[in-house]
Amino acid sequence: MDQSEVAATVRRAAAGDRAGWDALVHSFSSMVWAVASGYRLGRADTGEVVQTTWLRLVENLDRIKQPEAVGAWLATTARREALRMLKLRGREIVTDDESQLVRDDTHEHFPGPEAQVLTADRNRRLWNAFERLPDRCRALLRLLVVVEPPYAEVAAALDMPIGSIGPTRARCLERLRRLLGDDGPTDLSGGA
Amino acid sequence: MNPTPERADDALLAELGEVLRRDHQPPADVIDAAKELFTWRTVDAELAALTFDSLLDDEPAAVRSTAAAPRLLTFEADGITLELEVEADAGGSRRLVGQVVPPRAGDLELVVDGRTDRVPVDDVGRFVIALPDEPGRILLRLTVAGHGISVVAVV
Repeated sequence: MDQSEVAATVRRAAAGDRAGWDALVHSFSSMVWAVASGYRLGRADTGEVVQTTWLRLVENLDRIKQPEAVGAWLATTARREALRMLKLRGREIVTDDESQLVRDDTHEHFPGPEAQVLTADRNRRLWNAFERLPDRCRALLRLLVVVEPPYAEVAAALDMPIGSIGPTRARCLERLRRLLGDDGPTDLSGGA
Repeated sequence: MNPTPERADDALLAELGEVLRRDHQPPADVIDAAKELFTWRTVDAELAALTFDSLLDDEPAAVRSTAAAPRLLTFEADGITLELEVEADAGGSRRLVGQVVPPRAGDLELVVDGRTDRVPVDDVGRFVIALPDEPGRILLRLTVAGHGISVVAVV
């Protein structure tokens, strides 16, 4: 959906059109899920954050000032709901500054169904490298694969100026490349 | 010909996207639940909007003392403001103290996990109701001055 379609769809939903609401859920679910997944809340609480985020939109459908920017509104709301959940659970909020993050805790790898699905060696190494990235990089990259440019939702979700997304993306991908290298010989041109 | 760094970044991100998409899709039940929320628009009672939560909206200096300070939330709907305060006693029991502004008498229902409790809202718009020990999502149904307001809070 382009911006004018998004705005029209928000207005339709606000007027009571269920199909309009369903279209919004379809368009933005991946992004909202990706934002909520960036806080290591666990499956149940991540689902709760997503649910509460959509509920806030139901509450505010009539009040949204820029319906064309509902994606950024949802991203901001999902971030706030995730922070609320972290605080309710009594957990520390991770720093927002990528440069301050050194992720050296020993991270447990997923032994679950996720890992079993990733049978291809290249994919598994990519997954492992991704899992070892700082939280901020993981959150950014997870969003960049589901959000279209110009990344207003990414900026809103990470509370980051839109101009910082490009340079941070480059730094995070460079880290990812180094981590892939740590895992053994890497052929970036192959495997795709 | 060597790819430009930007091209290489695009390729790596695309590759990562393939890997992430496998288990970073929102589960179907989460999508269905989001769609189902639209029924709130058709319920008679108006759904109040959260406008303040001390857990998130306080100044940083105040946030540090949240362990001692009660949590405050404000919801607004239809010209009525609902102030909520979550109190906990030394034994860990929690209760919700509410104030309807402007003050109105009425009724309040608290729905948690399908169980409903009812208390009156007194003449000055106040009510007190027990909360479960564990934080979670609650639904309040407030009936004052002839109309219904629904409040969904995570407390």
